[in-house]
Amino acid sequence: MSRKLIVKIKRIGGQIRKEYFDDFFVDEQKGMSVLALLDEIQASRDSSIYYEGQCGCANCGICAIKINGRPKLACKTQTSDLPYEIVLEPLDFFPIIKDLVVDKSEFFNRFEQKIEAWVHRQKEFNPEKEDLIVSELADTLYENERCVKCGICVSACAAASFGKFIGASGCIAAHRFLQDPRNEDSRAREKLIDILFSDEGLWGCHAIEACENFCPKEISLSRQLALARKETLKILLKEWLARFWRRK
Amino acid sequence: MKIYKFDSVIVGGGLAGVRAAVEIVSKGYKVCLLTLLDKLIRSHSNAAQGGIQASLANTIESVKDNWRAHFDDTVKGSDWLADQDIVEGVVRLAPFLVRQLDYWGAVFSRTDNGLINQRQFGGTTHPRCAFASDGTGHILMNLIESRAAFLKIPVFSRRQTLSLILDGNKVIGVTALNLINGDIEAFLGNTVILATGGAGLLYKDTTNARTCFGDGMAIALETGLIPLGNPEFVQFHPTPMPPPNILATEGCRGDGGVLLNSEGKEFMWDYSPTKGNLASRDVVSRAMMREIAAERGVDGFGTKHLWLDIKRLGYEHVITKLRDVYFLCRNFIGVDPTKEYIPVRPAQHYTMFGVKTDKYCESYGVQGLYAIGECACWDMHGANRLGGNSLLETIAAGYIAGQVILGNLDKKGAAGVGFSDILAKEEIGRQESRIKKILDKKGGENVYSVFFEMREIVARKAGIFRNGQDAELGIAALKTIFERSANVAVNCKIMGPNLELQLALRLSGMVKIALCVMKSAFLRTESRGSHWRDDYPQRDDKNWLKRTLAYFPIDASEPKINYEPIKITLLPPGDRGYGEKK
Repeated sequence: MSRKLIVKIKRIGGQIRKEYFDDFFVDEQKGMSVLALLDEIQASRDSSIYYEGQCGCANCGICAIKINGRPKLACKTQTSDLPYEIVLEPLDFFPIIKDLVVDKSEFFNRFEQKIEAWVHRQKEFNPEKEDLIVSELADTLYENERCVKCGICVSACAAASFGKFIGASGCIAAHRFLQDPRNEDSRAREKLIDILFSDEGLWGCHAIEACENFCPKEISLSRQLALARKETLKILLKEWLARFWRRK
Repeated sequence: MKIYKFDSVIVGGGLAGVRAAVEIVSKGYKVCLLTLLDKLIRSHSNAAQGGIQASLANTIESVKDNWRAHFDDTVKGSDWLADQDIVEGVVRLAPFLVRQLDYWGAVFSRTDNGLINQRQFGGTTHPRCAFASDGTGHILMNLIESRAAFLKIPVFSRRQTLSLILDGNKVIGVTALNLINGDIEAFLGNTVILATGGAGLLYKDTTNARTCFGDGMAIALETGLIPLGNPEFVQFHPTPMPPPNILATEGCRGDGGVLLNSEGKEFMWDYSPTKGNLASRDVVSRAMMREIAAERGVDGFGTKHLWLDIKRLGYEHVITKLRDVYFLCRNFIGVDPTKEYIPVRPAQHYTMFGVKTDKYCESYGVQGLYAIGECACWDMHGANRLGGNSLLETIAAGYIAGQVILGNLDKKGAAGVGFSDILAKEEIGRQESRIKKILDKKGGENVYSVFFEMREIVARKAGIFRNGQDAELGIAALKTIFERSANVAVNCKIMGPNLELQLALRLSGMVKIALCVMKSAFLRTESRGSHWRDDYPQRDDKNWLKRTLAYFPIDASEPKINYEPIKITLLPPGDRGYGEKK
């Protein structure tokens, strides 16, 4: 017997930004994701609902919404894992465009410019042979690269909501560029360390670990943040010691 | 009324588009990127899993690999329908392009001695696929977005491109709908690049994302001047996981995974004695559908399917080299691939067809218009694409189109010369009245039912196995759909964020593409690559070694089909070497 789901969708939009909930009754289907549920409602009940979805396989991060109060990817969440009453709201923290859609790009673009989230090369390009990288390091970097910038860790984070904290996503991105030996520009590395070692970076984290619980890509964020803390401390300590010896 | 001016306007924020932008910006010209989504990394390029082909010869098994072997594999894979000039150019460039990506900071998996690692893929003679676990597209999208951020390339996000602005037979820009406030804007440029990806949503079961409508193909086709190349060739991937059709990468089989039927037999060796599980995708997909038709499929997961076994690779291998397959299986279909078989069933995956372009990526029929990536039929893939060649095509086409446009801009000088605001305003007016007509209409056709019916027809009449009778019925059915698509009405009446209107605006363009697919599938009376005709099961080089060009004249009710000869340079037509039993 399939269940009848009660879906409450938060509606926000128009000039005056009225907020209210619309209720829909939907027959649950086998293997139905919340994104498929939204498709069903959109196509056959109320076409004015605005939501976003893209890859459908937790790879693009666009469909993050709040499902029964918890930030999740709509494509990855199965209705069978939820109670029959499902409340859908937009993510916290980000500015709302309409209904379930928020603007995440501004936040991410801003921190990418701030931490200069690209590899700064100084060596000349050699088309005959690539730079050698230890296999384990490549795997470590890949783990950080798996982040899809869905905004869930930022939205779930109490610290991000009131400060300048760039979020777990921002910290692990910064750490990724710090670890990469191809990032050769020392000025860029110093900048990364400055940001990581400030309230915008690792010291903005209050170790609430909500990010870890909600990361849809199962990235172990608290471990990644700990590694980033260790790495930055190590680098800073080395610098201080070097300066100390020079003075002597 | 907003009119923006750039040297070059790029429609589409995937790998191909951004790679071209990076190339053009390198000399200081002004470009802009238009994307449907909020951020570049959301583009569908990020879903590519397996890898990117380049004959780097980095592993012990691929030491003897070179561009010529890559060339031969690609042409055989294409069943000799690829343009050999273009294939040669691309495979010669491939190692340079991949090393350049690595130089910029791409995180490719490494061999024990620190070089870029390579894995085996279907239809190739050597392990040639550079990869990053099984998220290659994702890391390349991360990388290319980081380049775009470094070069500060302006990105206009959430824009749906509506039409090309033409001055005679020269393109001077595009009109786009701002999906947030509902404004229609014009983006003018000396050149326009279409990089909007494939049209996978023509099919009911597809692995493609929700933006793969084929917008670029549709707006090119709508001019009546530009043909689609080879519209009958559509790739079906052997191993998407039902029911949501999420892909399990070909790398699963490349690394040693096998396909099993309900009797637990490795059936692929019966169909392709030489390549087995690693035959090209068209061969494997057909073999799987034949197994299912012969009652050796398994019931479950909402359909009849077969099994993919990767647990034999061992726990360690699966959780490192096939990390995302492990993640997707557990979360989306509730299967643990280290302990259980994965259910798989073929579904639409790639459109080899697209806006027909020449060697320099410039489209036929209209000056200044370029098309790259899956959106184009450059013809590197011919009748069937090999895995890992699509990422290569996006990067290579982006690079080459960028170089060509740079050359032209250097000759002509910078922006703004001869731009006509009048033409832009006229086109904006036309689009506004088109939208107003849809919004004002009462009691017309329902957008979603027309869309779903079209997908059903295309899937049933132009699927893996085709025949003349079905295709003829398909054409008739699509003609009715085409008439209905001109008559749609929407319930949601706003210009801004309105998913129903967005679909309504692209509906007739999509049906046009579908008609091109159906008609050219009907006319091609042979079986070649991904195009299989039950009534003509043999390849016919005498009559059909030629490329289809499908035009859709303005106000016509069906496409006009022409043909052009294929260029054969190094490898004359012969046997593909998979030993496929017909």
